[in-house]
Amino acid sequence: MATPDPLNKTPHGPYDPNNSGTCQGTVVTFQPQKTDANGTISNDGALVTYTVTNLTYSLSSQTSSSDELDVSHIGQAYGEPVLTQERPLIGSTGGGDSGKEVQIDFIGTKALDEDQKGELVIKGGIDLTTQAKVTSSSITLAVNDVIRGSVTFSVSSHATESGPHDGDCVTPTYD
Amino acid sequence: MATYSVEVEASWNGKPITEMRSLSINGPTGPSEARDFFWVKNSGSVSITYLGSGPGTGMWGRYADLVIKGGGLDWNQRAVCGQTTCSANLNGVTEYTVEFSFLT
Repeated sequence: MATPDPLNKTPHGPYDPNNSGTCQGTVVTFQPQKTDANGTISNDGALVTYTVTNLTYSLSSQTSSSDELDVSHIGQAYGEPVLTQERPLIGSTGGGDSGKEVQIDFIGTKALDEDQKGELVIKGGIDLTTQAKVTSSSITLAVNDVIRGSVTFSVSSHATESGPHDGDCVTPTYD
Repeated sequence: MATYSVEVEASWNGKPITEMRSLSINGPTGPSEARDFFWVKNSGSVSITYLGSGPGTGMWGRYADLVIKGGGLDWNQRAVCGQTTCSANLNGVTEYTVEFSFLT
């Protein structure tokens, strides 16, 4: 009897149009990059393609340079707009921290260094192409389980994004 | 229908406390103890958190009229300025809190 490969992957299931919002064809890649003294960006290692089991795209307000502070007060009249004020500090991811984060759980051993910058591309479910910086990364080995990891990226404010939309999935992959 | 906390104004010693984020009034507690002179013990208090301007620390222990209107509130009472607190927040704004004790 052949020994099963713990990293042998089961093909992703097909996208079910009757189950809106499920995007099983999501592909996440990260191309580590470095910037030299002249500002030239070049690849810093091989492209990383993740076998993603979970992905969360969220807004974290603490370090954002683009979201604003709510300075509304109880002296305002009913129907007035919420008052906002720019944050005093700016972000540090590439051309500015958007305050948005992508956190993925994956199967594999692709640990990344903290503060590693590069291009993050997500296709399927949400489409996102952006400069991003690794803010945390971990790998977990457990009994009777495959090796799993988790990585969190902070997203540059220059990201291009769309979705998620129903039926916005790419063709399912069988990797 | 609940009363909206809007158009709330507060002033102490004739000077407005501006950009208030929250205001809470705690009424008197316990017996009046037959008080026949100004007294702050158990007479109630007001706590106001604001972003704009308000009484500074130099006003501690002084009393003046505290007027609160709007948001279903209508108070006009002499109050002693008590503790003032400043809270500076990383990548945010500074919040101030002032506490008043009513004089009864």
